[in-house]
Amino acid sequence: MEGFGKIAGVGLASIFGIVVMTSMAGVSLGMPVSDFQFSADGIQGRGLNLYAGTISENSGELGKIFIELDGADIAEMCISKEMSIGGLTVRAIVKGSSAEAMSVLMKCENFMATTMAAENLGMGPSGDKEFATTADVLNVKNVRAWVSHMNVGSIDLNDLVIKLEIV
Amino acid sequence: MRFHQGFKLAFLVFLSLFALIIFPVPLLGGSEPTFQIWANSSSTDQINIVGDVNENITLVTTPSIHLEGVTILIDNVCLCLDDVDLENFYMCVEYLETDIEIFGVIPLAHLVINGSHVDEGIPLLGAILGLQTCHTADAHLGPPLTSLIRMNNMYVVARELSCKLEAENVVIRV
Repeated sequence: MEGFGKIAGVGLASIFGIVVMTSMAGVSLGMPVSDFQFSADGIQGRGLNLYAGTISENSGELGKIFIELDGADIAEMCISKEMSIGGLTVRAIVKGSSAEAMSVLMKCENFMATTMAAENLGMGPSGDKEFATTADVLNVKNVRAWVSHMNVGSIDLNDLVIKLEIV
Repeated sequence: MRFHQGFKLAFLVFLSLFALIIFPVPLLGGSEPTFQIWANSSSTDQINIVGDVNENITLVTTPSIHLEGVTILIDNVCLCLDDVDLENFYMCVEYLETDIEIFGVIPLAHLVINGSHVDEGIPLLGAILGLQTCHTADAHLGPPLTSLIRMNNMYVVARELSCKLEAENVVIRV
């Protein structure tokens, strides 16, 4: 019985490992990853374009914040997602001490930071958007966001850690 | 003759209807898209509030301004900021409403700027500040006035804002 538990545990861990690795591969290959919590000690972004989603832009999901960055240096990034399989709730965590990302698009439900600094900030009509918040440089610290969709053109992650926690 | 007059009248009616169909936007006063800003309090070293009669807007500019308790509602996205330092501040305003206080304690006036005009102004200091009721907003506040006067409970309907920003406790939500 104890052996069966060990085998089941290893099997379960493998499945979650594959899920997390697939998610990470999705990020690095520019594929969407859905519904997770994002946190970082700091983000230094370039070319901010922040706007509200419309029906045409987010396939029927109205009321999301779209954050576009041409490039971003992210310190102490953490992505966590809770999953429930067979009555067991598990939190998959992906951490990186530093990350350099290009062409970032985050579709968020909220975005929180303890400090924010922006250079050449603008609010008003921008490009094809009736309203957008734009900035040449964005510097945010202690970031937390609930992300429903994320696309990254390319990402370099340092000191990658993937782990599973039973909640 | 009567037929000729009737034809002229019919032509004028047709012309009026044609103009109503062709030029509906100016007649309806087609307005620019706007966003809203609330701030609990503000302090600055220097501020210019100048009405533009042609555009029916007021431009608010300042080299630096400190705002507390700021909420910006822009196209359904809500930006909440606790403490904000803004530099090179430029704001194109359609409507501005604020309490003006001396030392942030003694109420001086309730200022309302609608378009480029002052709807409610400052009774005594209005002539000096250029914020008299029924006049175009034209205030250039610098020291020592700005060290005395504070604007609290500010509500702004703006068309455009640009600045350099540093803020604490930022929440962006829909």
